Amino acid sequence: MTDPHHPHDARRCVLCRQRPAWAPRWVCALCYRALRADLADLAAGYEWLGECMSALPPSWREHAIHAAPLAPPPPMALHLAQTRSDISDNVWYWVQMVLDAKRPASRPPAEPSVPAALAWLTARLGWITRQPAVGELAGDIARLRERAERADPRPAPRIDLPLPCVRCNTLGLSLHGDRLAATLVACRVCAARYSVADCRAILAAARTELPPDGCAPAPGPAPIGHVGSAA
Amino acid sequence: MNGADDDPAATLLTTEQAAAAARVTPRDIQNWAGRGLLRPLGRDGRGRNLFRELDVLYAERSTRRAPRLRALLEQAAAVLDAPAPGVRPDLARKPPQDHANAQVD
Repeated sequence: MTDPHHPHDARRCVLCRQRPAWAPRWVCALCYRALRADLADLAAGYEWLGECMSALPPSWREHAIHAAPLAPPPPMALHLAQTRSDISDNVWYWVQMVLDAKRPASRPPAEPSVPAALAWLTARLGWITRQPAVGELAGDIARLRERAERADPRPAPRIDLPLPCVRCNTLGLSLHGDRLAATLVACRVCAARYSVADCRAILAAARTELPPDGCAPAPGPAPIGHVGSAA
Repeated sequence: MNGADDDPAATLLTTEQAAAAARVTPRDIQNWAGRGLLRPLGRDGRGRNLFRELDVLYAERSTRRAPRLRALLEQAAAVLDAPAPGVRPDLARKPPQDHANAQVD
């Protein structure tokens, strides 16, 4: 299978460690897309936490009646501020790493903001995924995205997706209709995670594997094509 | 996101709830219980059987055949095509671009 003229083909993806890397990168195409999606999610999450950070609880409206005089709460949610600060530190660390390592040198992000820095990293994802350290960056970004998601003060409504999970073949998939995770599908049984694009691919593959309508039913559970990224 | 409420191993369902989770009818759940595919873990205050959600999902998996899978895929397509509630359009993520356009340098 390995083409001797393309030695990169023998590489395994450093993220999923299953699929072949997308030469000359160190990651496969699905993990590339997942990393790109994580960067976009992290930018949206960072902005949303900023909006939530300064919201006071309803009990502190001016007309609220308090049984006893209480000290007003701090005018911002400190744990959200801490989360945003950590996200900022990590993202700018990676921006600096790319600035130091990339030749020819890139210009720094146009704005000193985290969304701009994440957009800057996204624009350089082609170069980044050709570096062996892409695994560390992807791990950091995924961890920060999950942290931003956990810190989101709103409960995430759950929408069950009646599509068998690629990994465990149960109906455990649910799509979180939350802003941060609007495009995230997770399996509650085996914790596999997919993007909506992955789910559409799984759906299309499953449809093609089904026998035509009206044929005798299959003797066992119908197999589902292994198309998605079960991270 | 994955709190205790979301854990199918810790969630108990009535027959009707189990049917909804497995996308089958309550009669199918009773049928599975009668065949030994599904074992109730107890009864609620009204005497209704309670099943563990994980067991229900496994029973559904073991009994799934092409007709049900076909119906599930249609339902899944409808869910995927529907806009998610609560999504703020101003902050909703843009879909990823093609790989060919993905990199700048």
